[in-house]
Amino acid sequence: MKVFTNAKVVENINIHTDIYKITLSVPFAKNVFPGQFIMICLKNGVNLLPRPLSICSATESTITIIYEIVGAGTKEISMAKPEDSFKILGPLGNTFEIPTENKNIALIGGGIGTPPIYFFAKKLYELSIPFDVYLGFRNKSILFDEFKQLTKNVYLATDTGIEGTKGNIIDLLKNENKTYDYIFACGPKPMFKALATYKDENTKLYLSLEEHMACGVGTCVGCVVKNKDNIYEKICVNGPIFESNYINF
Amino acid sequence: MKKKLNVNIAGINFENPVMTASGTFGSGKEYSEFFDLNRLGAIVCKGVSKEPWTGNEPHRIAETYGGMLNSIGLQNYGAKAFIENDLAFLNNFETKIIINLCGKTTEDYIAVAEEFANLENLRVDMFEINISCPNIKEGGIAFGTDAKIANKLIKELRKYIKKPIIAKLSPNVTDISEIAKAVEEAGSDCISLINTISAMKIDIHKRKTVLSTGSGGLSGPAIKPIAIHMVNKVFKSVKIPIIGMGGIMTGDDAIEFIMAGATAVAVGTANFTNPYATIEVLNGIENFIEKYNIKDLEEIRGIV
Repeated sequence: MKVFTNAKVVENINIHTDIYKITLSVPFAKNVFPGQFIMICLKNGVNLLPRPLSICSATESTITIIYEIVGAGTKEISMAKPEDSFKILGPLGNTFEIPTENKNIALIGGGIGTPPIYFFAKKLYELSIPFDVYLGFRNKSILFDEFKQLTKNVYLATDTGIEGTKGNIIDLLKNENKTYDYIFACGPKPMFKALATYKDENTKLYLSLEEHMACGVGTCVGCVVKNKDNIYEKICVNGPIFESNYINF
Repeated sequence: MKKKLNVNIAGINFENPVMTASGTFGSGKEYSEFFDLNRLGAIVCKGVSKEPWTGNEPHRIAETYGGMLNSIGLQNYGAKAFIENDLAFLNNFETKIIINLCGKTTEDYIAVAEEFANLENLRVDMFEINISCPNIKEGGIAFGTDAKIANKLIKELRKYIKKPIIAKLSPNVTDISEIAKAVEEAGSDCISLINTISAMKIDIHKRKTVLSTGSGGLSGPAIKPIAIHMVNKVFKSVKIPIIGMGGIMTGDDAIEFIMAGATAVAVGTANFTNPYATIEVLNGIENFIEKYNIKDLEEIRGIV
């Protein structure tokens, strides 16, 4: 059930460069599942549309989001202090589905796409389901230490080589050369395309997509992706997570 | 004493003047999770064509200063699926149902109107004719930017549609009153305006337009003064009632449209920023008429 409500800021801190972590006190926090997102409404009417942001973790009463300043909206969110509040809408979208049998699982995070993957990793860890993690960033990583607490198999690459291996996600996968039954990924579109090309035929690849969005509930029909039958599907309600063979991206 | 909020358009009584703008509310299902749809004067559905339309490539949305651009391209799954799903759903409510019809040719408009002509058990109260969508290659806006063509289309559709007709006008014209008079002469029962304003945004870092189609339609508070101006201009040019829209976010905005001459108002982009927008606009209208002891909206309609 979706709720439009006030959410008080508990904490809003800078992690590094333009990356921030915000924790909000949210009445629906315990009904949130990995892969879902919320819309945060801004107060400045100039930035009219709410911002869709994926959830990185949740407690009984709070949700945490890690976001990057990419424009005026996220800039405004970054200025919020504890005790400030935002109107938010959520929880929205589908969730990462937990494989029913014991299978080989890889979780892949690219850049600011990593936070929802961490939420899923925590869920799998709680259920004692093993998984490997592959992370790729431009310069500096986020959540590396947190992932390390969940599994010893965390592989890190950066474009510049400042942290981890110099290279990208595909380089890491090639190095490890493991076969996976399931890959769950969130990150930039070129990474998705590379993964879809690289993966074994039998590997099920699930991608968490993003697109310009206005309403978050399926009425504006703005955020779409073409499915295999060439019909545009709404990312906000039918996604954001799709199986790669189902969509035509 | 209870204040009079109901309005009459073409002999149909609306419990209150707050409607939804086509394309911003789906067919209400998504928002029925948040409030009782019976509280709305009418639901104006997203545009429907006879056959399914694919819609445009993403990006379809771009935010601009106090507004947004869209270029959806009237994606819809066609009249048959619409009737089975959306119209059947809406018939569970008392609120008035307005179907928005779209087409690329006169024949298209007739074909979709005919799909709704002989529905046995499903209620439709009015039809809005979309002659103003800027986001499809042919049809749509082409019918709404030429007075003669608009007149001919509405006259033709008049033969097929027995229920009251609303012509939805485009602001992308030199003189909107000319188009308004043309559709009135053709037998339209009501006029709704404004549809979105043609507009473009460029991503200066990527050196290309944000929308896949280049230009799209601007909506939201940024366009409200233009909409108010055009509603007032049309109000002074025709006798048929007007449904005013364009950037309504609050009850005060709605009152402004009524003072400009609108009989009813439609809330559009605000639905995207707040699922309760329509209800908040309705409450705002109630507060205003309470404050100024207005007994009937007729007292303030078109007073400027």
